[in-house]
Amino acid sequence: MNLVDQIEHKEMKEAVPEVRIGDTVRVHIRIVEGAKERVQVVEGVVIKMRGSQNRKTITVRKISFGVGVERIFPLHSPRVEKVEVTKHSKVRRAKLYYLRELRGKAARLKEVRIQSKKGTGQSKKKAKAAAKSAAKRAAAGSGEKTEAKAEAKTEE
Amino acid sequence: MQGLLGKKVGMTQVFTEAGDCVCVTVVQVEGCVPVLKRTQKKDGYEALLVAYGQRKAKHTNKPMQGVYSQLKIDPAKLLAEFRGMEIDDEEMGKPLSVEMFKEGERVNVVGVSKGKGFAGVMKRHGFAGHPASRGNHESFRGAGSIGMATYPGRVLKGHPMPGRMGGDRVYAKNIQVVRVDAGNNIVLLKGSVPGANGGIVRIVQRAGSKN
Repeated sequence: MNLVDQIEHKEMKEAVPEVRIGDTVRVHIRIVEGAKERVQVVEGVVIKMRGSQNRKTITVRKISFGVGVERIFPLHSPRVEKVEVTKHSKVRRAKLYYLRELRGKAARLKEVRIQSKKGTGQSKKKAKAAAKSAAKRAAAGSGEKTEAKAEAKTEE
Repeated sequence: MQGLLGKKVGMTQVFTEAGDCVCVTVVQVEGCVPVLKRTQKKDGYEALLVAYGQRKAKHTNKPMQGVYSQLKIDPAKLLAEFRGMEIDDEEMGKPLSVEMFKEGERVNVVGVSKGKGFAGVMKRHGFAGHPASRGNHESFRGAGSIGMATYPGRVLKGHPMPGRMGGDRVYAKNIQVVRVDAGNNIVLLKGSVPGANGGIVRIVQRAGSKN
C-alpha cells in the first residue's frame, strides 16, 4: 500500500454503512452555530456517489417545500454524524440524474429488499456502534438532544 | 532558518478537527542528513550542507567520500545548503526530523516544476489568442504583433515568445503545514507544491515568521 493510501485509510471512519445508489437515507449532520451545536437530519434519495476511501461522497436529493434540493455529503467527514439507510430501491443506472426531471409520483423508485449476509450483518454492527456513540454524546449534553429532536421534526 | 529536503509523494485530502475538508500534498522525508558545516572562517559564509537519498560510493567524489566516512553514513544522491541553519555538532550525520515544523505554521517550498515541452504563447505567457469566429482564419493561438514598424525596426529584447516551458525552479511561498507525522517523517502541506510526484522539494521555515 502506498503512502497516500495509508493516510487516506487513517482518515476513514470505522463505521460507515453500506450505501447504494437509489437508497433512501437519513443523514445526520452536525451544525455549529456560534457556540451552539445541533444535529440536523436530511432525508432523501442517493442519486450519485463518487470517490473512494476517505474522499467518498454521496449526493442526496430531496423535495423541500416543492423545490428539489441536492446536498453532497462526504461520508467520512466528522460533520456527518450518522447515515441511516431506510430503504433500498431498484435502480438500473449509477447516476439517477433523470429524477431531476420527474415530479411527484413519477419520481418514486421501486423498493427492493436486499438480503446479503455480509452487508446486513456488517451494517447492523456498524449501526450499533454508531448508536452507542450517539447515546454517549446525547448523555454529555442532554439539553441539546431535545433541541436536536425538535430540529429533526421541523426538517421533515 | 530551519529547513530540509523531502520527496513529494502525491496529493489527497484530509479533514480538520472542525470538519473542514483540506486538500494536501504529502511530503515524505527519508534520510535527510546534515553532513557538513560551512563556516565564515573557511568558506566565507555560514550554512549547513544537507545530504539526501542514496548513491553508490563509486559514483561519489573523493572529498565527499571522506565526509561520509567520517560520519559513518552512506553516500547521498543529493546535496543542498541551508543558509543560517544551526545545529549541534552531535546532530551531524543524524537524520533530520519533520518535527522542526509545527502544525498550522507557514513554510516556503521550492521544487522543480513539471516540464511542459515547447509551449506556445497562450500556455507559456497567458496571451489571449485570437477569436474563434468573426472572419478569423487559420490563426487561433498565435501571439499577434510582436512590435512596431520602421522605428525601432527590431523586436525588443525579452519579448515573450514560444519556447521551452517548465522544468524551472519554482519558489512557492506561504504554504500552510496541515499535519506533521514525526513517526513516519511525513508532512502534509496545504494545497499543491511545485513538481511532479517523486520529485525532491525543499521546505524551509519563513524568515521572520510569527508562528
